[in-house]
Order: sequence, then structure tokens, then C-alpha cells
Amino acid sequence: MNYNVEVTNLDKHFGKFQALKGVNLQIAEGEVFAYIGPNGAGKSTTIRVLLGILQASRGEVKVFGMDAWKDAVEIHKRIAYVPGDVNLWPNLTGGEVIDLFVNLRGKHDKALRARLIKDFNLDPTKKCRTYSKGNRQKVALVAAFASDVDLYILDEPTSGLDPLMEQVFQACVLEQKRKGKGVFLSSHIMSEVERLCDRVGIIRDGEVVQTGTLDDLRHLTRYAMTVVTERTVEGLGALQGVHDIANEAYGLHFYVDTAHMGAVVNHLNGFGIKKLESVPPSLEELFMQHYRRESA
Amino acid sequence: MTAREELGTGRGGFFIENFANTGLLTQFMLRRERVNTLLWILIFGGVVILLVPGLFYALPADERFAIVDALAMPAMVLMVGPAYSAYHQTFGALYTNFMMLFSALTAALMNIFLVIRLTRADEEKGRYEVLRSLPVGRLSNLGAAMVTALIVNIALALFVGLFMFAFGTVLYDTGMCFNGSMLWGATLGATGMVFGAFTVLFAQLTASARTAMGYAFLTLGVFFFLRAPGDIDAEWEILALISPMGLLLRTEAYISNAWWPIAAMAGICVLLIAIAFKLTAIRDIDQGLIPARAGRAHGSFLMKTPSGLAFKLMRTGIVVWVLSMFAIGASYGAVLGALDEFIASNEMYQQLILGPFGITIPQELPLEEAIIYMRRAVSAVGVSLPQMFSSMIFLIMGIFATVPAALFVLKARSEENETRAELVLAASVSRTRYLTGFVILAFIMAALVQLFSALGMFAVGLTTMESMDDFPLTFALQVALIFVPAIWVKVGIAVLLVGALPKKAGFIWAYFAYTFIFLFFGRGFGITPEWMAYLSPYAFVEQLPLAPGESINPVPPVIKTALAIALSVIGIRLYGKRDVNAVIG
Ligand SMILES: Nc1ncnc2c1ncn2[C@@H]1O[C@H](COP(=O)(O)OP(=O)(O)O)[C@@H](O)[C@H]1O
Ligand SMILES: [Mg+2]
Repeated sequence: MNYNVEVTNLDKHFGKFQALKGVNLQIAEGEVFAYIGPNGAGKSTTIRVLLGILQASRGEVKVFGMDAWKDAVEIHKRIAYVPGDVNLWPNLTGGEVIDLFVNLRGKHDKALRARLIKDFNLDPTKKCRTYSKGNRQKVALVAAFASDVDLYILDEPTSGLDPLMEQVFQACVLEQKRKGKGVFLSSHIMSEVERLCDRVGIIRDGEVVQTGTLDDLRHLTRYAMTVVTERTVEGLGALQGVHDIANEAYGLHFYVDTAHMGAVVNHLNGFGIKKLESVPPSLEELFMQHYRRESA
Repeated sequence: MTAREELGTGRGGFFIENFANTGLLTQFMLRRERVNTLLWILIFGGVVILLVPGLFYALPADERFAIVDALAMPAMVLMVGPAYSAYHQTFGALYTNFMMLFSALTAALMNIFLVIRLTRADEEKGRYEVLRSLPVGRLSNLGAAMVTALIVNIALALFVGLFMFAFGTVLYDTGMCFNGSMLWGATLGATGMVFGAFTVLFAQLTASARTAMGYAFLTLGVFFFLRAPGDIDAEWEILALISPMGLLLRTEAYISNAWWPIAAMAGICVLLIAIAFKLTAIRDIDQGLIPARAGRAHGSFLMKTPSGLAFKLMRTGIVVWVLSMFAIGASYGAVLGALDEFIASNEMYQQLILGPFGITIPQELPLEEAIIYMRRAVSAVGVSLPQMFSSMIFLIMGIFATVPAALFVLKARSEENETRAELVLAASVSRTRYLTGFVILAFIMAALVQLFSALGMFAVGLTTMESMDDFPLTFALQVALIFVPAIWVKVGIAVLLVGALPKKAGFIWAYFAYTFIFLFFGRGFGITPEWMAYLSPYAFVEQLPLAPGESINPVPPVIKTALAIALSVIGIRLYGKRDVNAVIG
């Protein structure tokens, strides 16, 4: 398999502070990868190392099989980057900035540029100083998607967009995905991650604590269960993977780790199930659990 | 940690990895800066050019060289450079004498602003990061910034050079030769480039655009004053040669037309830029090599009051200014010991410095005897040469000391501009207290910089002079501190501007320039009417040294202090009443 991104044992120090601790990532060609984690976890730092803007303190960082630091120029010809906090030159128009970025990457497609400007509802004739945060982000997004590259690196790219524009953004990413392009998306918007991404990596305090598909991750989390039985349930608390049992008016409520679901249902069967509800974890909960688990 | 690979060495090859797309970036920078630089070149270059006919007609031929004597005064040499026109009496020489140093200073400022905008400011705002994610080399941005600065400086040089020749010779027949005119332009361009290069270097060392700019200004100021002893006294010429501000004066356009200083400055540029390239490769984006220290997690006691906050924000500035003023004072202290010989050997200085006290040295005396004669005569009057000399120097240092004080007041304004003031004001600090914090600091600062420049001069004077009886500490303090109330008046005006016309608070610099032009040049040379000088508080500072028996008149300082306080109070009250971040005004 060919990898877009291969990061091996990456450390990054800022003076005494260690921002990244042994990060490992493998992102295949054509994969849409979500990189999530609380503020200050090290997402942007990882991305800056991938872009060859920061140099790794230790470890190996390859993009398209090339060294992220040494071969930066070659790599950047095939990359488009959108930061979360886009700042532009106040006295240039949005259109001028888009052209600069696209020209620097080499190839450009006028029709595509025009279509994207229309889709994102951007006025490219305005000076950047007059743009709101969302509009500045649109400039960067248009410049990125109007370039024909192999990997899009997006660092919380939609933090200033309204829900309508969020839809346009998702459509753009899906279009690239169909074309077989890779995307590295750092995001806080769970619906976005759920809809777009093949795989997820979770980073906390500079360490990647989990990677896998969404299903893989769900497997590591808990379902909320409500059960009504003919006889009083006994011995549930002794089972592995059962948590927070509460006897409510509407029935017995508890959480169960996905991995132990089968054993628990078998046990409950013995008491005559009248009603069984299981609610899968929402992504939000899923991430919250991950974030919390690590801080515990 | 792995050894750091400094420059790009990847498969694109050295040139591609480090300089890819420099050309495109340069085009882009020129586009960004087109309006700004065009205005600078047209307005600044225009003034330099139009003053050729301007001065030519303002100073009719028969009066023209009456001012040459004044140009040779040490205080004047300090301000404008060596008195070329004393030995080369042409209009061109006079023009260079008058205009070159200040024009070059302006060119330097233009370049400091330009280079900061193109480099560190972009980095700080996160724009550089996006550029770096594009296929551009590691040094492309700095390279493009330097090429842009070079193009701008060449444009300035050609514009000034060609039009000076056109106005100077073709239109108004002042006899300014082509070679001299081109050298004039080249001197401005080269000085600009040198300070652009210093700025790009500081942009690598410091952790923010503001600090980098601060260091660049400081360097400019230090070089300006460092060269002065060298221009005044040939024995110290080395000081002028190691300072770019002194080097540029050695081109002597329209006099000896020397091109070697341009070559020397080009060499300095290459060196500085090479160091900057090296440094940019070994530092991380957004970081400086002089690390910003980790801040405190909790506010110290200083953070409890607005004055404390103001102090905290300006702490480095205070230290740097105080030390620089000390150093500048010290550099003149070094000259104090050699004054005897220097004045005794120059008839013109004798007339200027000794004349007002009715002392003339008989011409036939050999130097050593002339010195002895002069010492006796001077001490008979009850004053001393160092006192006379330092009074002249402090007239300028006193005006210059307005800069740090006014900066502190304007800091309150820039905090407001960047909406940080809202945060403090929202935290139940009354606005009047907020601004008062900065104002009190500015008042203290004015006294502090004067105090330290006096101490600097005195301390070094101690080592170079045989006896300090001629220049006692009390006199050093007097001659410096007598300017403090005048500086305070300027602070008061700055506060008034911040309170009443926040958008125009920068006018304080125009007033600063006014003082220089009308008090210093205007009154000194009698070019402008006397009353114009009296629109500046410095006109009311008593001229030292006083004859023995006289004492300082306390009335003017007291009035000035009262005026300064009144202006500040009004300014603070207006500030309390207007909108924060007012758009009008
Ligand atoms: N240039 C820097 N100097 C020092 N510390 C930094 C620097 N950049 C980031 N950090 C620190 O590294 C950690 C990770 O930051 P970042 O990667 O920006 O987090 P996020 O996941 O929110 O994008 C934070 O604690 C941040 O303070
Ligand atoms: Mg981030």
C-alpha cells in the first residue's frame, strides 16, 4: 500500500515543553483521515511538521514518501493547506490572494475557481481587510479546492463557517474523496467527521491515543441500556464491562462496554426480557469518553 | 534530538528547496506594497527634490554662506553631519550639508517599516505559514523581501538622483553635477538598504514584529548618535566610520563625490542578509532566537493597578531606552576631555563658543599656549568649556528625549486600537485610571532618560577629564533636568491628543518635527520668524551655563510643569468621556 503520510515516533519540543510525544500515523492514499483532540493537544503542531514549517525534534515524517523537511518544496506542489485562523493581506482582494496561492502551486483551473467562488458565495473583489473570519476562511478554501493536488491538509477549516457553508465544504471534500484524493482533516465538528472520514486519530497531550475507523472506536465505548424484565435482575454488577447501574421507574438503566455486550445480553435473558433498549454512543459522547478517559 | 538540517537539501536541489518561487513572491510583495511605497517615494523623494530650488531661492547667494559658520558648531554637526560647506562653498555642498543626514534617516525609517511589514508582521499574523505551505523555498520569503526592498531603494535612488540633477542643474542652474546627484540618490538607497538588512536580521532574533522594530529603531538611533563625536572631532572619526549613519556622510555628494561608502554599505548589507538567512534557517516559525521568556501564570502585584499594567507592558522599553540614553550621554562624555585642544585649534569654534563670553585668543600663540590662555580666560568668567559644550549637546538630547515619553502615552492608544484596552476597561478599571497609569509612567520616563544621559556623560567624563571641577555632577544634572518640564508639556499635549483626537494622536510627531525645524534650524539660522520657535516649550528653557552669581529662574519650569499637568488632566478627562475605539476624531 502507498501512504500519503507516514509519521514514525515523532517528538516535537518547544524549548523545554514537549508538544508531541512519539506520534505515529499512517494515512493511505485516497483516505480521508480525521485528526481530533482537545485544544492544545498538538494537532496544529503535527500539521506544521507535516508541512515542513516546523522541524521534527525526533522521528521520521514522510509525505508522499518524501522527507517532510528536506523535500518541502516538492511535497508542497501536491498539497493544499487551510489553517483554522486564516489571516490575509489587508490591502489585497480575495481574488488576488486566491490567484497567488493557486499560481504558486502551478496548475490552475479557471472554471473550477469560478464555480467554487459561486458555491461559497464569496465576493472576490473585496479587500481582505473587510472580510469576516468566515469569509477569510472561504478565500483559503477556494484557493485550496481550486488547486489540483493529491492531499488536502485542513486544520479546523470550518470554525468560522455558517451551517450552509459547512454543507458546501462537505460537498467539496466528498468530491475530492470521489476523485481519490487524500484529506487530513483536523476538526471539532463531529457531524463533519462522521460524514466525511474513513478513519479517525485521537490525540491528547501530544500522544495519539487511538486510531481506527469510527466502528472500531465505537467498539471501545459504551452503549446506554434500558431493560425491563419479568424477574428482578441479579448479579449484573458482577459482570465485566457494566457500569453505573440505576434502578429507575421505567426499568433498569446501565452502561455496557461494547465488547461485553453479548455476555450481558445472555445474562439478562435468564430473567425474561420484556423490553430492551440500547442506544449507541453518539460521536460526541464517544469523544468525550476518550478525552476524559485520558485525563482520569 | 537529531542534528538540525538548516537549509533545504532535498531532491529539488539546493536552489529549489531554498529559493523556489522567489520571483513570484517578489512580484506579489511589490503588488502588496505598491501604494505604500509609491507614496513614500513620491512624498519623501519629492520633498528632497523640491527643497533644491526651495533652499536655493530662500537663501540668496550673498547670504548663503553666512550660515556656514553656524553649520560648523558642534551642536549643528551633531544634527546634520560634518560642515562640508565650510571648505567647499557651493550650493550643492550646502544642500548636502543641510539635508543628507536627515534624508538618509528618513530612508532608513521607510525601509524599517517596509521590511517589518514584509517579514515578521506577516509571520506574526499567520500569513507566512500559509505561504510556507506552498511550494516556496525555505528562504524564498526573506529573499523576496530583500529583492523587493532593493527594487524600492533603487527606484528611490533613481528618482531622487535624476530629479535632483534635473532641478539642480537643468531647471534652476544651481550647478549640481550629474555624478553628485546620482550619488545623492545612491546614498539614500544604500542607507535604506542597510537598515532594511538590519531589520531583517532583528526579525530573526526577536519573537515579535514589535520588538524587531524596536531594535531596528534603537540601532538607528544609536548609530545616529554614535557617529556624532566622530563628525565633530576628527580624532574620533573611527566612530563615524563604524556607524552606517557616519559612513553615508562620507560620500560627500557634490563635494568630493566618493562612491566607496556605497560599496562599503553594500558589503554590510550582504553580510547582514547572509546572517539573517542563516538564522531564519535555524529557528522555528513564530519563534525568535532571543526567546520570549515563559510568562507568569498569575499576575504579580504589578497587575493589580493600571500603572502596574502599563509598567509591565513597557518594562523592556524602559530598560532599553534608559540604557541607550546613558550610552549616548557617555559617548559625548568621551569628547569632554579633548575639548581644549579641539576648540583652541579652531578659530570658528572659538568665536562661537567663547565669543559670547567676550574671550578671544590671540592668534599668534602656539597651540599649547593658546590652550593655557583659553583655560585661564574661561575660568576667569566662571564657566567652563565642558559646560558650554554639554549645554549645546543637551539642547538636542532634550528634544530627543520626548520620543520615549510620547511613545508611552501613545502605547495607551495602541492598546486601545488593538482592542485590548476593552478587556481591561471591562474589568471595572475606570478609564481615567487606565490612561493615568500610562501618563504617570511617561512623566517618570522623561525625567529618567534625562537623568541617565546626564549620568552617562558625567561618568565617562570622569575618566577622560583631568579634573571634574569644570564639569561637576550638579551641573551635569542641571543641564539635563532643566529640559524635563518642557518634555512634560509635550507629554501633556500627547495626552490631550489621545483624549480628544485619538485618530490623530500621531500628530505629536509632527509637533516634535516642528520643534526641531523651527527652534533648531529656524531660530539657529534666522530662516524662520522668531515667534514660530515660541510655539514650542523648548523655547522657554533657560540657556546654560549661567554666568557666576546668576541662578536658574524657577518661574518657567514651574509654569511648564503646571501646564503639563493641566493638559494631561484635560486629556484624561476627555478620554473618560469619549467612546473607546472612537472612529471619529
Ligand atoms: N511555537 C510554540 N512555542 C511553544 N509552544 C507551542 C508552540 N506552538 C504550540 N505550542 C504548544 O504546543 C501545544 C500544542 O499546540 P497545538 O498543536 O497548537 O494544539 P492544537 O491541538 O489545539 O492545534 C500547546 O500546548 C501549545 O501551547
Ligand atoms: Mg490548532
